[in-house]
Amino acid sequence: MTPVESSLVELFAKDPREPGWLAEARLEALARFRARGLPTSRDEDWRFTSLASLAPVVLERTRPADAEAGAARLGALLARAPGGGPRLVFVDGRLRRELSVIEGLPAGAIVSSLAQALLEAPALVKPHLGRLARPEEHAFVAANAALMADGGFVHLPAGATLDAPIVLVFLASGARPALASPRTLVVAGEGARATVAEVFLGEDGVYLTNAVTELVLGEGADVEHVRLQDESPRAFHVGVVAAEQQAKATLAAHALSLGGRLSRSELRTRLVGEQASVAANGLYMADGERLVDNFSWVEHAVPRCSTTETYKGVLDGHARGVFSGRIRVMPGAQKTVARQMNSNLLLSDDAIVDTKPQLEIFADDVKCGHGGTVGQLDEAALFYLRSRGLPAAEARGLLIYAFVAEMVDLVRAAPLRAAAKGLVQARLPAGARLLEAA
Amino acid sequence: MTTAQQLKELTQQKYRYGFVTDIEEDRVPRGLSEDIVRLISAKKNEPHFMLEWRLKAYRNWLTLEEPTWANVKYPPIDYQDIVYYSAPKQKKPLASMDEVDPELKRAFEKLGIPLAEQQRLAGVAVDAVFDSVSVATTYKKKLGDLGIVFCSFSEAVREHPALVERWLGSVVPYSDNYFAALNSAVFSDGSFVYVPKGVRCPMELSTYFRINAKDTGQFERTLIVADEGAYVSYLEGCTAPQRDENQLHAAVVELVAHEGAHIKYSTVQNWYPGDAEGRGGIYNFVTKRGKALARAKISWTQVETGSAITWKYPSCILQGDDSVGEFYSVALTNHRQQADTGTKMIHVGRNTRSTIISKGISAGRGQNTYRGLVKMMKGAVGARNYSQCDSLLIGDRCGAHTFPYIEVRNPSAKVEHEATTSKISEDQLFYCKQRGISDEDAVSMIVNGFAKQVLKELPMEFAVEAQKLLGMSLEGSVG
Repeated sequence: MTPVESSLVELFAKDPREPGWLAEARLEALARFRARGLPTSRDEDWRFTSLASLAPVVLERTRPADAEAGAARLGALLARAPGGGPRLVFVDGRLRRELSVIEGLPAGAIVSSLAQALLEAPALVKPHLGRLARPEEHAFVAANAALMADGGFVHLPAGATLDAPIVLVFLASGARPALASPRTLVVAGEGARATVAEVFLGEDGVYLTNAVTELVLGEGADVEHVRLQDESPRAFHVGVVAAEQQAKATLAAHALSLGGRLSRSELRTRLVGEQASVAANGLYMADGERLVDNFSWVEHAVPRCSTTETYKGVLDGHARGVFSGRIRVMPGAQKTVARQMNSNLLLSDDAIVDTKPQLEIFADDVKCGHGGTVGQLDEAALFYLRSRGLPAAEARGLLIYAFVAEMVDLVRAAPLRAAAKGLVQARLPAGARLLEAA
Repeated sequence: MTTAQQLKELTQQKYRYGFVTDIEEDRVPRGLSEDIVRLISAKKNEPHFMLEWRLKAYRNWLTLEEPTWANVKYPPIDYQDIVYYSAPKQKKPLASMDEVDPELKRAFEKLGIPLAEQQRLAGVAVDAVFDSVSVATTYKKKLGDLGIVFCSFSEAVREHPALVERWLGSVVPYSDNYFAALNSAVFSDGSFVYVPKGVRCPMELSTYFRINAKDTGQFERTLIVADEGAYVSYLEGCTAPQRDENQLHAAVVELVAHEGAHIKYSTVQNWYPGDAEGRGGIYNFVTKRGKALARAKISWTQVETGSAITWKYPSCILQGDDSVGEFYSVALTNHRQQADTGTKMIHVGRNTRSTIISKGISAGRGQNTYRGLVKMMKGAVGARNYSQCDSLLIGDRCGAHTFPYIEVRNPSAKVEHEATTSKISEDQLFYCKQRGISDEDAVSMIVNGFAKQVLKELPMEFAVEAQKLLGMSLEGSVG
């Protein structure tokens, strides 16, 4: 990747106060990214997702966005984001203090921007930053590690419990082709319990969001992580969530991918302590010429852990949906229970789905299953609704929502569930009418 | 023309002539080159089109790289260290069954193979009356009366060149993949079947009845064409253990089912799997594919218990409207065997249907991978697929992997894939044991129950042997 020069590091992430180890790590990551280049469809993990449209549009002309982007437009965007608890707002990857609220935290808990945490509590950040999302394994992670400017930092001491969700909002001003590299780190101590949401919103413009999130779950921690992606229809979005779960740690990861011209949502988690469990949920909707890619990778390293994975997709127009999920049960990880499911609804003649649910099992005392389905709306059900006087669009909207509602309902935190429901329904045929009726 | 060029041409010419005299010999030198390809073709007295085709395949092969995506591990193969052609060797026949390796005899007994067949398989000189050759001749006449062509591939090239030229490579082009290209360049022999319009082949065709079936070599080529409304059932392989010195086997099988035709292709593969430590054994890298025109049906059934490495994906291109593809597979890996097998169902026509039933059994340190593709093309209106891939694990050091690919380009297509992985049930084992059934018999019984959905698709006599084979292949995996 020639356009990304080391001067870019300075351009994007210049902070003279930054610790030396981080500056070094950036250059190393950049070198790795340069050596590796963007993945191509010859990479098995990117088989169905061509990045050809990304390279010329964004990277060559990419710059940090204009810091003074139109505040009025941001207000409308921000109104769509959930709140009600601690909330940090980033615009084009930079924290906006005046839009952020931090309150109601239990003793010892920290919610701050990552840049701030690096200055004020480096000892809490350094052991984890880049440990789970490793630049040597992933081109986009390497690019993020080199160019990350800011993002969220959540530290929960042992036993800390938060009922209100912690919401990180990433707004794209869309002022000009830009690159934002949000970086988030969540460290949940023993038995801590919280919901952390990352919300990506953009209205217009061509830009790339290259987000990386690391989730460190201590013993018995219970974390719900929600990604709501509703970027500009011309934007590119790649988001990698890398997690590690100690014994009895529970992770509920939701990825709702609604916007973007090309988006990819990745979840990679390792279950390293016994009785850890992960619920990986994904919902993706696309129309027009858009492509939405979902990738998940769960590794069972020890016995008695469980995975429940459910991804659902709705594709319309010429849209393309991709699902690639892998559950890997390592030698000795006995008594593993894993279930993987991907269901797709095709609404048009030109929509495309490629799905790859994969199981890789090296232990014998396991119960693993997976399934994949692709189908269309049931004509009989449509007819029934029409016969009850529902207009065609509403009938379709209702049936589509019936298909996806399960994914929305799985979100535990009420404010996030409501926000997700709103964003999803807004994308349905006769969505406004459905919203009204609700 | 420069002297250097002249010299070069001269040396090349001489080289070619040099080989012509070689025709007397029954083995070609080690290694692969264009001259070797020419030599193989010359030795087989092939028509010009065949040589041209082989050469195109060879030149294409040079541009390809050996695939590495399969979930199998093996040391690199030296393609220049292989003898690509050797005429059928006449082994010295053994005088009686007493001279046969006792281990082999024991296997025959367990499988319940009739004595005459045992002798043939073990290479014992057989009584003329029971000679399989004479049996084969009788059958051949009967088939000939119906207009069915069933002969070795070489014979077909000589006797029916028009049929071969028309269909060879029409389903698996020489450029298809690395091993198919290699096979196309150097294939030695195989089977050819043509069933004319509306004819129902009255018997199961099998390599077993074919003269010259032995030592068709490591690069086997099979082509089966069923004309409109025809039916044929073809059996490949054999349940008896097959000793073979060739390590690399790269076969190609092509099926063409015309309108309303039905081809049923059953395989039992029991090549030498190597010893318990994974030394030796066959690399079985096979390309099998069928093309089904309107209302045609292609059905693959396979029981894979042998080979150190199995790499094969019998596939169906469902080109015509209302065509049907089926894939039934049992793959068993024990000791250090590795199998990466599955199918591809490419739905092109309207209302095409496919069913995939795959049963993987892993024991010892065996690694068993199901890899399958279901592709619904844009025109596949109303197409349906159902896939079920189950894995059974015996022992804690084996592996079972499932990699299905589903690619859908048509909204009215319905695709369902299901897979489960579990270990052999302790409750079931306990139940069998408390009824006085031995460990080994119990496991064999449970495994057969697990594989029943596939085994019932096999022709009767094959099915019985295949059941016993599964039990035998698992010996030493419990207790």
